[in-house]
Amino acid sequence: MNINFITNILNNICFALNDLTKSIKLKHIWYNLAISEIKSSYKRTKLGPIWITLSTLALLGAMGPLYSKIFGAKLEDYFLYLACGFIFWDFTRSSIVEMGSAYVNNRDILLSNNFPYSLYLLKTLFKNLITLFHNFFIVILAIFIINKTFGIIQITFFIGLILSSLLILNFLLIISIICTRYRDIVQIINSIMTVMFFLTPIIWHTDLLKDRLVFIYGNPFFLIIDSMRSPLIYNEFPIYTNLLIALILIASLPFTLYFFGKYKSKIPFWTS
Amino acid sequence: MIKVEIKNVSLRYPIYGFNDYSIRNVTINTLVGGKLLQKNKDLFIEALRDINFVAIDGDRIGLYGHNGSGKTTLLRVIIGILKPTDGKIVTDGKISSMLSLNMGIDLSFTARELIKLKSKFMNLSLEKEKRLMDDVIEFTELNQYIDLPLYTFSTGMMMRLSFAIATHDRADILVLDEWLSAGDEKFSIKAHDRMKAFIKKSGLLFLATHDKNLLANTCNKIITLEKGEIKGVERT
Repeated sequence: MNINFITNILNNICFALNDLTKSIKLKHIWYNLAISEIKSSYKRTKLGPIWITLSTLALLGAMGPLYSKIFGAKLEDYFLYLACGFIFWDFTRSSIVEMGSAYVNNRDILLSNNFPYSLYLLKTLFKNLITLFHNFFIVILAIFIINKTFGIIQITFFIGLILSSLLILNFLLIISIICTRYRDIVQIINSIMTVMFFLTPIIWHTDLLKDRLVFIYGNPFFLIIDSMRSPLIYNEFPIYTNLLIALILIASLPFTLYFFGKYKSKIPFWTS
Repeated sequence: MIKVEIKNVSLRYPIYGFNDYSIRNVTINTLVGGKLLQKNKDLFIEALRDINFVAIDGDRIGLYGHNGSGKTTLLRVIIGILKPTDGKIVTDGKISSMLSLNMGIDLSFTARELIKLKSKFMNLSLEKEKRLMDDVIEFTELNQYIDLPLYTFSTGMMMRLSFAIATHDRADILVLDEWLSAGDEKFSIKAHDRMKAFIKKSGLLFLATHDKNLLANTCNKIITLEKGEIKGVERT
């Protein structure tokens, strides 16, 4: 293999790692930008970000009894399953969709400050983590009311959350750049996410597709949701889903870093 | 040593969604804006072309030119926001810049919230944040407007606020774009004094404006840009 080709790949991976390291060091910026964006969205409302929790609760309150009847499941079990699935899906979907538009949406800041590009992805991811934790209150409440137990295994949901966040960030290093250059991709992603909501076991149970496990385990969105949902509702650490996420992450990381390193300097030109 | 060295810098902006732009339009040169170029089916604006200069500690460089002559693009290249298509730029020193009046922040924020957010960006301690707040409130004379949303501000008021924040702390290299033109006379004198004091503390200033008097009073070197090219360098 040509030595220049390898040097080029390694250089681009280093550019990407350098950008990510700088962004992590600028935590005070993306942290405060994320918080200010949430505050700004709920400005002049009496309840502020509590609306995040209330609107999710209203949706789950309407869907839970109806779909438990449709699927013939016990309301308590189904509500917890739906609440976890829906909340983690909402986090995944909005992170992907918003990170895809992160550079265009932050164009003014991007063209006024010399911040590393991945800072805008971290800001968007963190903003969605804040929203997730507002909704997580519903999950904790449901666990206490329905399961009445909270054990050490349930805490391992954080492993799933960290791995899933890294996986989303990893793929969005590429997708966000493509979405900035080709604006149709954002619309395509929006449509795919709508379809995937129905194809992923969120409102329907995995048991319904026992004989077609490939449709479940072949779906990366199931892996993300299961890595966080299983510890909380079944009190078990989903070793295979976490392992699969880690493997996908490790296998794809060199390519995503290379791509990001190669094209990141084009971002300001493509945001217009 | 505080320094900005620009060697053979050119920059071309790709323009998307206008591929059917006619050759006739491309070849006719207009008075404003960079040159339009068409390569195959792609359209580009040549925002900067073969820029060369060295600015060192103590220099106050003024950038002068029509709208679209390349002043802001050159400032963005100096700050590091835009990477040149060709050429090289070497900067040595901490940069403080103000390119847009609201600094890219949501206009529903109050001025006080904006100052707090900027202090968080700068990672200031609570004590330094308070000092920044007091300094900005005193300098801008915004009084009760400090707690009103930014969308209620005039351009001049926004300029006062942004200028006060940018010039609060020492920086090696200060980069200002089209600023003092929006202020009233009293504020212009005040801002000029503050800028002089700031320049004494800072190493190097880049100021882009249409105001030749301001450049003559502030800068020791005026670079005139036209269609992305340096048309002249004048020492004052």
